[in-house]
Amino acid sequence: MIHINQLERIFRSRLRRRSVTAVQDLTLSIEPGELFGLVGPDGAGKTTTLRMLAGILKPTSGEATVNGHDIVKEAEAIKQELGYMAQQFGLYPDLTVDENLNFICDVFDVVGDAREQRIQELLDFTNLHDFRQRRARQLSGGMQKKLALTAALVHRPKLLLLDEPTTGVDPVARREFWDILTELHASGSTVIVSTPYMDEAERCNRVGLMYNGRLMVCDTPGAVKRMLPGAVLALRADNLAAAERVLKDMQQVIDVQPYGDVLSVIVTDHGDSAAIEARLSEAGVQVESLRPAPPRLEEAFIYFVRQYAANNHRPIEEVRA
Amino acid sequence: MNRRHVLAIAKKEWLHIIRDPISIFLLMIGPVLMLIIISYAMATDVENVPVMVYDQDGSPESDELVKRLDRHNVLDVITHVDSTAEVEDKLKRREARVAVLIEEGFADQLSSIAGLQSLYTDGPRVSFIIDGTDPISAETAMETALQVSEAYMTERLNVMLDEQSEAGADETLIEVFREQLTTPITLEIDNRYNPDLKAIWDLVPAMIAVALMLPGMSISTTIAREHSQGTLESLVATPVDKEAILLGKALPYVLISLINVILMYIVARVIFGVPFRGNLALYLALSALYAFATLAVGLLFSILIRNVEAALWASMMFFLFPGMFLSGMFFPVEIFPFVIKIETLELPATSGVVINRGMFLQGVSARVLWWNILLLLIIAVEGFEIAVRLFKKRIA
Ligand SMILES: Nc1ncnc2c1ncn2[C@@H]1O[C@H](COP(=O)(O)OP(=O)(O)O)[C@@H](O)[C@H]1O
Ligand SMILES: [Mg+2]
Repeated sequence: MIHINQLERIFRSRLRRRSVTAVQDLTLSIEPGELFGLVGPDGAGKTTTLRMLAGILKPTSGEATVNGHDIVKEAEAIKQELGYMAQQFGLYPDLTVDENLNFICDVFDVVGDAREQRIQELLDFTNLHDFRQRRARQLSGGMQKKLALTAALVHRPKLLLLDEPTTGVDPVARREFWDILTELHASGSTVIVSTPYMDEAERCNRVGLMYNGRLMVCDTPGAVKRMLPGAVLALRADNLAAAERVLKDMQQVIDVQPYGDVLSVIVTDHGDSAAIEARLSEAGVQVESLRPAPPRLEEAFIYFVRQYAANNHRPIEEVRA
Repeated sequence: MNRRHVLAIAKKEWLHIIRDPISIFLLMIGPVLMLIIISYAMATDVENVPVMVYDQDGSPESDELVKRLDRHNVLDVITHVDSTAEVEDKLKRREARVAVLIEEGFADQLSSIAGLQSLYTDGPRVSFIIDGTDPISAETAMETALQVSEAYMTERLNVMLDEQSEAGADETLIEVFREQLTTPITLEIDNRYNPDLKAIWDLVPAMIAVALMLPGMSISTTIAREHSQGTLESLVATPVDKEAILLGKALPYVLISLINVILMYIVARVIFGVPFRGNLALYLALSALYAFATLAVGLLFSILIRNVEAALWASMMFFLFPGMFLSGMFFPVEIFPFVIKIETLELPATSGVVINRGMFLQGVSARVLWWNILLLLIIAVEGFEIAVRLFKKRIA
């Protein structure tokens, strides 16, 4: 469905003094029926990637096809078939929900009886029925996101590109939103969604971890977690800051990441826990508990980012090879 | 081009306009207001310009001159002064805008043949100083002062010549003086001073063309506004074609321009009493063409400048200032150097002014205006075509 080959996008500042490489060396294929998560922090290059795929941004080099259409030469054909939801709210704030949806239907040639039927169907789906006469400006952030999704769905696209559809949305609305996405996916749509949240990434069938314009790792969430070397130990103790300092210097410790009142200690082997406990009490840290834990995507991601920085910003696979 | 797409864009654009109180006010009332205010400001009669008198002659004749100046409603003699220093002082402090300086011997120049001769050889013993900071009232005041003075002096000298001839002076000599006296003065005054309303008849139709550029200025921010609002990204990601976006955006503004034309037509006829001698249907058609031409240029600005303030300023530099000064509204296009003349051809307003004046005052037909119609067609079609070519359905 989507084939990306060596895609690169460089933004040059108008004064030509600075340039930003937003996306580089991106090679990736996405098959029909996937729910693909493009995961990464702000500035990773997610939006730039999705914009290029939507045919609204020219790559600096490389090529890509969407549904067999070239993203530069056949951009308009892509726009016919694609449902694109931009990161920024793209509907008109001074128009009502109904007016916005009618406008989008006009533009996508959804006309006649089919239009009202489709709008009804989508409003049922997204629970926006009671807000049809409301100006888009007066909707909450979560409802705006749902309206934008509704607008992206009017022409029944087989492929959806959603750019951070849940950023700035409350947890309940986020869950609702993901239920909708899961349903779309189950009904056979291909969905590509970008997100900075790891818990959302876990719900995708495949994730691509992006950082600094590079795709660091791309696989199923399970496989990505298995790529984390060694094992994870969850540590609870009275002085986590001291524990972190001590553990970082230990040979068998690969990485230490704080998560609230728990310290995730990535070690070469489960069997290291005795040595770790001994070292901690030696340093005067009172250990409450230290037990093996299943690795999380977030731990893998942070680990990869650190590796990537330590390896002078070369992608993980390259370093391995 | 898909008609449904054009209408969809036009409809949403119309909603943007009517839901924004500022833009609906500026677009619906702005041009009419501009027409009324500027026409009034330009055409208001200059009245009661304060005048001071430095009379060193102190004769009945100088008194009479001052009285006549004061009696004219343009001038208002407010004070008499006793030194040139005082004259300078009062001018500087703007207590008076005009100074009438009457030298000793003013009466003598009007009372004898020798005086009349000295008037022509040495110059008159009366002169004026005018504060030129407000050129329109200054010019009116100056012309009034000259006219009144010359009329009085001519009258007085004619009386003197009558008396001389009654007293038995050489008739042929008197006739020579009479001839010399009247001819240049009366001619000059008649040509210069024209107090009827003709100026405003010229101004109002031109002003209509200039005011009609406001919608063009307004549309020049349309893409920038969508850009800053974040809706441009979603719009260009839809399959709607570029022509439909731009044409759809222009249509509501054409409608608004036509509403404005009708309102301004009524104001011109009713408030300013300007005659309309042309064909009304032709006038509306040409106004729509003119609106299209200005809107095409406005769209071009909109596409080139993706920042609301910058787009507004750029279009103001293009539309408003040159529109007023280069379009022929204030100064005839003929006086400009060749290069500027070429530039003014590009301005829709130049043709708009010609067409409006032609339709209102002369009642000309389309055939007479063919050159300006052709120019507007070229600006409209080419402007739109270039806009479509420059507009990319992409961000950045
Ligand atoms: N239009 C643009 N002009 C200049 N730089 C840009 C532009 N868009 C994105 N960038 C830069 O490219 C990098 C990647 O941005 P983006 O794709 O928006 O990341 P993300 O969506 O993952 O937050 C950032 O450093 C950003 O500043
Ligand atoms: Mg982004």
